[in-house]
Amino acid sequence: MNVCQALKFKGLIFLWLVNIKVLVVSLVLLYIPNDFELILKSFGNETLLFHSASGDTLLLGPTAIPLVTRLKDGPLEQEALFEYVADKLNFEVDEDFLNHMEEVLSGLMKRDIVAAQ
Amino acid sequence: MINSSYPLLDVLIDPELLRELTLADWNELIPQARHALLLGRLHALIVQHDLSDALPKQPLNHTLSAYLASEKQRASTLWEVVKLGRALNSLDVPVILLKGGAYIQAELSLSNGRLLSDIDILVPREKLDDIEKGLHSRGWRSSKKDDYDDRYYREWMHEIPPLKHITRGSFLDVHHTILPPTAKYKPAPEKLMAAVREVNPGVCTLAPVDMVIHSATHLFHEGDFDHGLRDIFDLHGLLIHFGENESGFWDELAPRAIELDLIHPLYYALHYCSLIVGTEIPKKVITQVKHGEPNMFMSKVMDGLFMRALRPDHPSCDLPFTGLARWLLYIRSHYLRMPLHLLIPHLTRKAWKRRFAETVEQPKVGDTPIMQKNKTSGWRFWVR
Amino acid sequence: MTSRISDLHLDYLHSILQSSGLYLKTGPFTYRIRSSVRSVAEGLHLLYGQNQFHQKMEFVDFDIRLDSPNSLRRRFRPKLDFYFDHQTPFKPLPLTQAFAFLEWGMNWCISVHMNQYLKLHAAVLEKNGRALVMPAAPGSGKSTLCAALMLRGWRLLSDEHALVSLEDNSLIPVCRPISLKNRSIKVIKQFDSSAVFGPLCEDTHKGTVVHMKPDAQSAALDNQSVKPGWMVFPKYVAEGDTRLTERIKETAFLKAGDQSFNYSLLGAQGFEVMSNLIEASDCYNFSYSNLDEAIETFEKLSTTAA
Repeated sequence: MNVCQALKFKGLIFLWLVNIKVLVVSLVLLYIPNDFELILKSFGNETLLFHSASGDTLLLGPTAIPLVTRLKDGPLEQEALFEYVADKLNFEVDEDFLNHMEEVLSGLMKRDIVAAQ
Repeated sequence: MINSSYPLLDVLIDPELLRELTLADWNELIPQARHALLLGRLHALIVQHDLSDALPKQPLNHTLSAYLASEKQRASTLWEVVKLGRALNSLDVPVILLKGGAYIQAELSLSNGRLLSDIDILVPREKLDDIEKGLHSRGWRSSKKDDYDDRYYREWMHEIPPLKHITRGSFLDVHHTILPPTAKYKPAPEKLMAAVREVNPGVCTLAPVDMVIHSATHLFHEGDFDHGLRDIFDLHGLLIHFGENESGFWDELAPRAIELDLIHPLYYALHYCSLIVGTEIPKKVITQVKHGEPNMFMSKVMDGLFMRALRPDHPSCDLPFTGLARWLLYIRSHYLRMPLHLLIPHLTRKAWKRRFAETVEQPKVGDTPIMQKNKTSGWRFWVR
Repeated sequence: MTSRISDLHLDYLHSILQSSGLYLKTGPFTYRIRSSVRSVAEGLHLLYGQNQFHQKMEFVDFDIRLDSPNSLRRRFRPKLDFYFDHQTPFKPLPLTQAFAFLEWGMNWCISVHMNQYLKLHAAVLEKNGRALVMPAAPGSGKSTLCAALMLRGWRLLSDEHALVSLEDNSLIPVCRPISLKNRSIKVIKQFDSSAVFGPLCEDTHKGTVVHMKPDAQSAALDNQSVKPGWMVFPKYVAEGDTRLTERIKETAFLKAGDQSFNYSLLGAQGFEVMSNLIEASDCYNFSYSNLDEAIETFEKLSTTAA
């Protein structure tokens, strides 16, 4: 469809752009920089994380835990990673879930715990 | 045989002598090492020479404690360098580490147990404004709240004041030259920057000969002898390490110092390392640095001053007139750093400030009275 | 027959403090204390009376002195400096605060050095072979609780420092007087009239401060470490109910870390030792206003296995 025709269908264009974004984002490879050791400890409720490089100690929420533990095993594309977390926690992969996971991921990246290639 | 009133020097040169110490000797040794910022290094040597089991446990608690602190500093420094790398590399500027930060990043053994207080970097002068802005946006702020102090750095020393990070609390000194533009000797920073070695992507140290010359200049020009003995052992460590591992190091050392207009501090460095620690310097180099030797009279005067000032800042290490020696060298360093018409008002103000010592940030945990920052030695002569 | 500090005549103790110094061992640490101030001698004589008197000790961990900088000042503006070795880490304080200054200084020595332990700012007591650790946020009322518990038979390890061994995670005692402030001085006096108090120091930066003597049991066991048992975060709430509630260990960990002198410094080892401490402790929040009820709650707690 050419652009002029598409403009009549603003909704469709939006969807098209969103699809492109999702496509791009899902190609992003996430990994834990292996120069920096991560130590995890749980007492049964939540999980603490010690980031040896920065010396920070963090409390990981229930959605961050499977994200980090999965990445400890090796890099993974973002889409697959979020699906893994959803599967582990029995969540539906809807917009709310994805927004939440984006936030969690962004927080971890800000702390240099997770990086993107 | 150990000098029982100044055991620190003997045991640092030959750690096996620690076996000879009585518990009473340790009462002298620990405070000396602590004041000299060498307590962590002492522990590193004890471990390296496998002496832990042979020595009494109680004093070793103190050396271990200092060593643990130095290990934390190592980890923090490495992390700071990562953060600095991101800040500077985005401006296409490499992180050129100086002094302690460089020793840690280059994993030199002299960094083992070493205690440092801040990170020093060298940057190109023309990018100074951008760098300051870039650092500011990532949380580094001026640590000087006083306008005078701020001006001292910017207008007279042509430097950014020391920076402190708002969340991490780390200190950063950004240099664009190794001596102030007002100083007597003028080493060209471009020459240093052209010769740097990359130790990690985007992170560099000075070339080996430059690292030695810079350390020598810092010690023998800057007048900060608080940790003079530590700096002498740093120099000794650098000379031994590069002498053994860098081909051409001894050949290049003196000529490079001449090229940088810094043959005088290099002379002093080699002279006092040899005199105090017994560092072996090749004869050829000794001859080459004679360029930097003062006349016979000054030589004797300087020996008298430096051999006092380079002892730990602790009363048990003081020789007669040590206070005077430190003061004279302090004045000398400022004279070398700035012309007389700036020097006198500056020193007057500094002395006045010292009477009303600054308060230090309260520790966040525990009840203590208000802490203060002050020196208790060297200034006895001048202020009190 | 080993002599105690209280066996000495006060004047003799005062003269020792002005010459070779008093050698004092508390927990694993040896201090050498010198001072020309009479109230310091009186305070030491009373509050450390049951400690062993040593003519001399070979190695001293902390060489401290509490004195005026020079004799002229002593006459016109009586202020004291606290010297650790030859440094004065603190601003001078008035003569009237001498004993408190000594205690704060002695605390500082441990807080700032001695990284071979994981150190928390907390009160530590022992009952039934297990340690109760109470991390001390401001306003927690931990010292009041600590004093009351000791007066009711709990063994005092320290009212200021939880020293956790890096080797076996046990709590190491440093039995010293309990510092009480302002309102809690009256409360404890009323709680138990047998409590022994040292010199009263008024108008300090913390208000009115006084120190209470440790009991004989606590002093006698000053070299016996204890395994962890409970970690309780106390909070004094005026006219509030007595409430002990379990808290999840992960947040207890972080809160304990906040109250630590060197958790960050110890890096990964700190994380490991703190994990072990928390793992081995039942963690609770505790709020109270009534001291008797508080003691009762802790008595019940002490019967629960950790």
